[in-house]
Amino acid sequence: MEKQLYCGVARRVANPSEEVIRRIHRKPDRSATILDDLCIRVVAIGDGDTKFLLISYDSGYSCIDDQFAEIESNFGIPSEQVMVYDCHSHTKLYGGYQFGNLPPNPRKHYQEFYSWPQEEQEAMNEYGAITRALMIEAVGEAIGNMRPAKMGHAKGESYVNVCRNQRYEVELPDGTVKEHYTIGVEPGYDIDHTVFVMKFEDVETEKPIAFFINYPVHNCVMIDNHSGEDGKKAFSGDIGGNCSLYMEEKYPECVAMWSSAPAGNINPIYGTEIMYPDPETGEPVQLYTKGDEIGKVMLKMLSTRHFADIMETVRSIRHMTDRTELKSAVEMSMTPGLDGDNVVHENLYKIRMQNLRIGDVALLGFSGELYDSYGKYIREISPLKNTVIVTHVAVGTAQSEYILSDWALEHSASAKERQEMGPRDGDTSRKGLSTCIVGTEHSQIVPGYLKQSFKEHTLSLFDKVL
Amino acid sequence: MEKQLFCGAARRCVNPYKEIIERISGRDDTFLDSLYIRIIAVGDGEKKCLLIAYESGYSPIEEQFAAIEERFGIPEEQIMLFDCHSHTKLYGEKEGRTTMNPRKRFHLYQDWPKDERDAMKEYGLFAREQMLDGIEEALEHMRPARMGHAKGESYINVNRNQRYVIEQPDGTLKEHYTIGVDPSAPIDHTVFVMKFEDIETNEPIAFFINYPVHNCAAIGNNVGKDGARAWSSDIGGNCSQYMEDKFKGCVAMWASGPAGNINPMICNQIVYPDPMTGAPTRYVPKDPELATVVLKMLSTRHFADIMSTVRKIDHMTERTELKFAIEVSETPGLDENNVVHEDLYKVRMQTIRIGDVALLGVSGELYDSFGKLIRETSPMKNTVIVTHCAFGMIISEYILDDWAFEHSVSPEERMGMGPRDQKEGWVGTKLPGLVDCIIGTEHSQIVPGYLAKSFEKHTLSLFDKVL
Repeated sequence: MEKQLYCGVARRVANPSEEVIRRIHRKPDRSATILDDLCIRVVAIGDGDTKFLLISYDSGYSCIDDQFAEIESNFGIPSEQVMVYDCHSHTKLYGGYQFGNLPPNPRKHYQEFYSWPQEEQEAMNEYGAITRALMIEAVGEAIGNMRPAKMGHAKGESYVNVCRNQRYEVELPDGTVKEHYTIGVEPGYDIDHTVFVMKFEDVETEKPIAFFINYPVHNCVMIDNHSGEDGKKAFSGDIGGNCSLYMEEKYPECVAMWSSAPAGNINPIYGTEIMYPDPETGEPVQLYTKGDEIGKVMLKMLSTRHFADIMETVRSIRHMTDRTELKSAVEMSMTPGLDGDNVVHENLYKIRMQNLRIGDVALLGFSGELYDSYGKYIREISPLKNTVIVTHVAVGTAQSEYILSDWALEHSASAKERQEMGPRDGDTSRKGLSTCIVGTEHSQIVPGYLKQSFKEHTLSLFDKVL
Repeated sequence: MEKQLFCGAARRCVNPYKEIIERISGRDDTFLDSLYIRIIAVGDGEKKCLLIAYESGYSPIEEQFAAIEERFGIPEEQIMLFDCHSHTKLYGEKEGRTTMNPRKRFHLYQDWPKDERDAMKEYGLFAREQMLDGIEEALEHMRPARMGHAKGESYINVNRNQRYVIEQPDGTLKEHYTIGVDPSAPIDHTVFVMKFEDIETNEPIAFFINYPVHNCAAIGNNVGKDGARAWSSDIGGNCSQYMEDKFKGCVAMWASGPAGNINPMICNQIVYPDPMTGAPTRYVPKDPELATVVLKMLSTRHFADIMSTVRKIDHMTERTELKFAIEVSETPGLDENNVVHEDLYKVRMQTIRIGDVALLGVSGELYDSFGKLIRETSPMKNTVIVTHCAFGMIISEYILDDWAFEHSVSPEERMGMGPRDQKEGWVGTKLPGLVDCIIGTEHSQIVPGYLAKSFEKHTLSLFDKVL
């Protein structure tokens, strides 16, 4: 690594305006209350020749093809060198259809953007255009303030996450006991608790320019909050967004972006979406919170604890270097997938995999919600120790959705039961949250192929960037 | 084990009543769930032993033992009487204590208003009568029984001694350990269930459940009218009631395993690290919802784990052997002037062997590490530690391990905590806040370095007597 590292940053607040929010009918319980600012953050990294952009969205993520096109047209940086990702807050707003120019997943029978009211679609598209302009503006600023920098990183641990695929023992009326796996908490299951922090600081002032934080958890403490006006749902950047804001408050002028590591099956240890086993039958029951305080308290508890763990990790950074090497590559994993009629097609199920190497760190981006077991496997086979997996990257380049493990598909409700879920052809009886393992009901994945594909592409991507 | 097992059970509701509640400050008549005293009588045709669980109303232990022996002829050694340690219940007279810790300088019973103390005394007498009534019923109902047991896991608990890294104004960092959560610390998650069933009907007579967690999900709740604290038997009591609803006619008692340093993974007492300084910060919820949601969430999850454990019981036997022993661990302890005295700090240790299970009761809030040590030392695989057992005549309070003393604030700082009184030598002027040190270290009489050895010695000696 012989080249000088450069870094510049910018941030834009991208809170949805009241004018946009009042046109959102899909969530009639949505208020205009913003608990904490939703931001777009940009970190520009360079080695004198090549530039990378890391772009995170707390809210406003829009059609990825449009984003890539505008970045290339404005700054000449190709999509391979741009890692755009959504932080996956569940109390934000997308800027239009999150899958951009791709057709809807034919197996998904609910929450289809194109079936929403026209006014709502327009509001979201309008919001997406605003946030895209903010992002472009921020990219310009970040590139404009690039200066010689040092980089260091460390790994720590944080225990605000839990496996969310719970095993329920349900007593049937005839007295037999049936195992049922669905949303909940399974704290006995061994998941990853690693928090990774990469810090960039100004060579001259030694002040932090940027932090890149990565941790495996669904960013969804506030998913069912009532913390907005009149008990409606408020907007929030959730755990990740709050930790970014804490860091930016602690080190004014820095930009701290938080990203989700493989968390397809990982939730916060508690949140406002509460499931519990019925004490009489053992079956999953949803508990709906009502007050405005409980969500805020849970968010405060988890984000402050997570931030303390992040700070502990920052303090354990032992080495800073101003030397770097930037290399990038993108590949597409293609494995058999199911269409809307349950027919298997070769190469139908796709996942975009992107590798940005920044010195001795590789950011490996996936275009969906990767399961923890795949994350573990990919890190094991990667030749670079500091392989950091970022999820929700360039969503819309492929319909990857939940990247479920074979275990999940085997332990969810049966394939036949899943196929029958959701409104099809006018049937509006959508099954509930606890009917199966979340995501299996409409997944296009055919079990048995993903692991091998990840192995091939991970090794191939590293052949290109090392 | 050649003798026939007998079992009978009873429970009595001991909710504090209007005339009592009116005299207790900050409380009203809101009950999240009912509070009970539960009794399981176990016999082998010759001897009887009693397991007695108090969710509320625990009064001076000497008087309880005396009343039981007088009425039923069962001596102290054959009675395991414990408090379930709900933090939203009411004690009887003197909080059940007839001996006071002279180092404890706050929350002192004798400083409370006389009317309140009288009410507690009256309530304790009521609860004791209910207990005696329950024992009579349990003994009368004893019938040939089978017993089985299993161990499972439940993950609703967490080490509560959190490490805070505090940034000082000069930029230096200071480590501070106090209440919070430390989920990475390896603690015990074992739930133990012992089931007794009727030989003839095969119906459950009783369940004995043991799990290491502070029974305090609803601590400090403001669910009552005008923000008053509502009564609850907390996680343990709710699980007992779920079981009793599920198997009508049974009695299900829940006992705390070693949980001196273990809390529920979330509870109504909230402390978090300030994001700017890292210092522990307390948040007091204003809305009553958090307490009720947390209690429901944790008790239902814990109960599902208990039921999963019940389903794992794969052997039931009607043969038994009952044996009993009591010893007292005596190690050096500190008086109020910080002077060390030989054998001042005491922990009562009691073993009741029921067939291949040994219940080992300790008279205080045992730390998890000591629980592990005792189970490892014990020659019986199914050694189940029950805490808050027969406390009162011996004041063991928090049975803290050496780690806690090493990581709490310094002895000098701890000695300085507590309101000044007239006694010569008192230096304390500050009522310790919740986050000033590791809870219990501020007034502990323990001298570090002695307890592990004493527990090893007495555990082995107790098992010499019951095996």
